[in-house]
Amino acid sequence: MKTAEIWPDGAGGYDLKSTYDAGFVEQLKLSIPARLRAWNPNRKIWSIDQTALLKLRQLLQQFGYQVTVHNAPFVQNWKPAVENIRVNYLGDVRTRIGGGVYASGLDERGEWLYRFSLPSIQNWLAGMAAKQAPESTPLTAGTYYEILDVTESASDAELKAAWRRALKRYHPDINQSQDANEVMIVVSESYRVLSDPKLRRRYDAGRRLSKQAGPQQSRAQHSDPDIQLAIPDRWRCGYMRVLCVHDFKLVEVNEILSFQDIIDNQGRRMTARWMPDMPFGSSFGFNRASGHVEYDWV
Amino acid sequence: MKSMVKTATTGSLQDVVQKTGLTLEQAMMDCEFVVVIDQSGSMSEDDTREGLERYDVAESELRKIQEMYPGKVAVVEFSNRPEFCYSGIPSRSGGATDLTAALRFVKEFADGAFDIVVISDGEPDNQASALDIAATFSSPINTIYIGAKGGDGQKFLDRLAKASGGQRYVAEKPGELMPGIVGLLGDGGM
Repeated sequence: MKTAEIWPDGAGGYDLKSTYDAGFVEQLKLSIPARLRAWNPNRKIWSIDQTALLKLRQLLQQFGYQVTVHNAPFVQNWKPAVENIRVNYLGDVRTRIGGGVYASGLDERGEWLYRFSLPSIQNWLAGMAAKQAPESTPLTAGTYYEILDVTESASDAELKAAWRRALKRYHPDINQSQDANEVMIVVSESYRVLSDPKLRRRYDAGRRLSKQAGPQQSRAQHSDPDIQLAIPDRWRCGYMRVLCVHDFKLVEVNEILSFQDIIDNQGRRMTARWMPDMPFGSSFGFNRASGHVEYDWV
Repeated sequence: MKSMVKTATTGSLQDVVQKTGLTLEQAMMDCEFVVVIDQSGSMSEDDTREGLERYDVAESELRKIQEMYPGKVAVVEFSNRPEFCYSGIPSRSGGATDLTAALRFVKEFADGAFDIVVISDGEPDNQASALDIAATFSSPINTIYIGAKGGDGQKFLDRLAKASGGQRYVAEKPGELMPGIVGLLGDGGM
């Protein structure tokens, strides 16, 4: 069995002692830039910069090493586990030195403790978008065409068929929901207008002109602010339930399961904003990585 | 100085939408007329009978008509290009007189659904193309000429109305435009 031992070197990096495997060494040299690794021929160990640890972990797994970590404050458990974490700020997803692609997350102590993988962010955002799209019903649909669930070029026969479908589905004698009456009123009005060629043409004219009249003509969008994450220029601080692994000093998030705002006793959300530091004496340009987070309740 | 913020004219579609809570789409179903109003540079001529600019004659009457028939009139203004005038108040934009583009725009959404009234001094950039497209309308294009009686503009608007089976009126001063439109509205069954 191939084994690998890892322990902190006391200077921010880690030492690695492992069973020799030519393929592993070759891949290590290919995958981790020379400036992030050093071979100590006397001790026969690799010194690895902490920014390359994720890559090292992948390689060790890839080559089937049994890994032991010594004296690390965060003993790694590379089996994913569900945990609740508090994220005060989440940065952009970027390609990092060492090849990792992730977004860094700030914990409540101000440490960049979390690493969110790209798929974890993508899947989370996709899930949010799906939640935001409400199930379309006649009461939430935007146009008479959408209410009847027909295309804008629907023929008389198609309209009639749509009307019959709606009757079967929403008639209060059949549908026991509280909205059934209201739905039937909306559906009936839609059919009345669209089945009359002149009214339909006038309705279409209104739709055409409303585009010129401006956004005030748009029907109110049905969105739930509670499931919109973004506040312009701000991050909503919150508690996340995540599937993660502890990787030395870091927590690598593989999947975001849920999110909950941090709310004060006045019902305001805790938010954070990244404020880049402007270098003293420089009139233009600044290092985007340099900055700090400011908090506010909104 | 002319304000950049337009307040809706009483009785305009915008005014009706704001007061009733209807959407514009819903309000348009009660609308009867699309008034296509010339806002080209030639409308600044002050050759009407009382020495007023053609703009003044058109605008003051348009206001009264919308007050009298709330929600019944959709206003489209044109000069270099056509534009829906939601507030009911034309912009006095000046510029060219692209009546052809205006008629093409109106034909797309209004032909067969609304009666159409063109208010102009009858000096379009291209008379022939305007007449060609007018002949394709199923709705009659009624015309109201603003300016001195007997001019070339009046003759052109007469031909435009005739090409689509519409009626024609002449408005030389404030007060004469409204009877013309009211007559048309009356014909429209209101």
